Amino acid sequence: MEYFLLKPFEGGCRFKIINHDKDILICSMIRKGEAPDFTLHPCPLISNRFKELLEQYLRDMDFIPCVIEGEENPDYWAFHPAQQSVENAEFRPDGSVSAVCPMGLTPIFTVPNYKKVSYVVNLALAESLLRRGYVNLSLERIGQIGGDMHANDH
Amino acid sequence: MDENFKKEFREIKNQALLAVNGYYFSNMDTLSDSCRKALGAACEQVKRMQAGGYPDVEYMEVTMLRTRLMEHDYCIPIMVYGTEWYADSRQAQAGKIDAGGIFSFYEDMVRKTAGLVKKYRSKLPERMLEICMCSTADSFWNYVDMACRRAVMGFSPEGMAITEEFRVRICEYMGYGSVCRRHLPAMDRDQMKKWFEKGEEEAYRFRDYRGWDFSGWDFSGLDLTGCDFRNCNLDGCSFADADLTGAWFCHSTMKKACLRDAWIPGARFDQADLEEAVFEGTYSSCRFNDNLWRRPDNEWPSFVGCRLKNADFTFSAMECADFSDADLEGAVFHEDHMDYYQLDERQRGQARFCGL
Repeated sequence: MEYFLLKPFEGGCRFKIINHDKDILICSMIRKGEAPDFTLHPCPLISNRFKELLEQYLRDMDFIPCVIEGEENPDYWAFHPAQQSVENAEFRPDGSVSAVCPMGLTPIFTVPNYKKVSYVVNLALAESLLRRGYVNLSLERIGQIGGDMHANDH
Repeated sequence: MDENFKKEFREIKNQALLAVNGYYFSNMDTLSDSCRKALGAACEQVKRMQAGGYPDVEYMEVTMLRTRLMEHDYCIPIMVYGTEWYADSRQAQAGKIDAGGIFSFYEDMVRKTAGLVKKYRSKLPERMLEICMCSTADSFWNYVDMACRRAVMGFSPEGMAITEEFRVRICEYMGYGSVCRRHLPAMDRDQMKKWFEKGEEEAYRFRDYRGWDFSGWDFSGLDLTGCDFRNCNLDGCSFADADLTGAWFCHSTMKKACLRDAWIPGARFDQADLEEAVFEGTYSSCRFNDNLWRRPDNEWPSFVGCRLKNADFTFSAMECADFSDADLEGAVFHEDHMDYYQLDERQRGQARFCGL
């Protein structure tokens, strides 16, 4: 199984959190622009369509709604994927993950270290995102530690 | 989205698709040979893996990965899985197919689209190029799909440990795709006959029946898509109303076989003996948009070098059927089909054209 570092959409709109409720985030838009599918500002958020896709993989996953001020329904969702321990990953000097141990069928997980938290998706989820044209995020292939010894190089 | 961009992009895309269409149909034998070779090499790799303890293979998949296409990597992976399919933690890439020829037209389209996106950048989403790349990939993938469908003809996973349900698929990873070859479990002639008599809906498709003696059997109404009937004895068999899309009958004897109202796009009968075979109402299509496009999912039926003595083609409509070097002595066609079928002068002299 291949893995990809999920990188945020750097363009588009920007938000600021304006409440302190753990069950719902309310944000105001501080810069207009395209809606990201994945952003780290003001906190890790995914778009509605990404959330709908993720729910197909992880039916029991909890999402926290993020409502933009003046809107009725949430457009973004905060989420807390499974975590892989730092011992099972390798990192680049900037702290982002460069290789991970296989995580079974888990489609998305985080790998935190003391510098930053990396978001990693597996091949199945990466392909699902691209198949649907959800490209307001970036995917970068990373290595696999202790991968299947039988696999061919490609 | 900007209408002018849409219009110009459509033109770029259509040009690329037309070019890849021409490329594929001019090189399909070379392309399918190369895919067959890659599948064979993947089997060899699996055998080496199995010598080290890798389990029996149930799925071999030629897989489209958009993650690679986005990186301009046009080597198509051949993946293998056990019974757990996508949940198999030991799924592995066993080989690859170089699809650089087919995807060179995609690459060219991407390059031109990048220029177009730049031109209209203020009116388009930031990642318009990626959206275009994602949404058009499968139109080019169709040709890899077709080449692989031909490649499995003659492909055998011999020596590789497989399950009874072994199949070869052409697909997107955990996405759309289809089976193109299924393992035929060992059966004797009686068991095989009983199996066919069940008339199951999809059980007989994509199987390798090469070399069997089926003379006199009734296959009417069955879905025999993608089956390999080469070097078989099919004398007196009935394929009436059967779906024979992409089925191959090359070098078989099919005297007095009945293919009445059968659907035969991409079927190949090359060098078969079809004396007195009945093709009444047999039909297929392989092109659209006048003669400009070949359908990327269907080829024309091929009767190259066939013996078609006294065969009956009345009321047939087999688009672009290839009769090169076929013996048409006494074969019957409807007189309205004098121009519909491309026959040479010798064949026109051999055939009979009747007004019915």
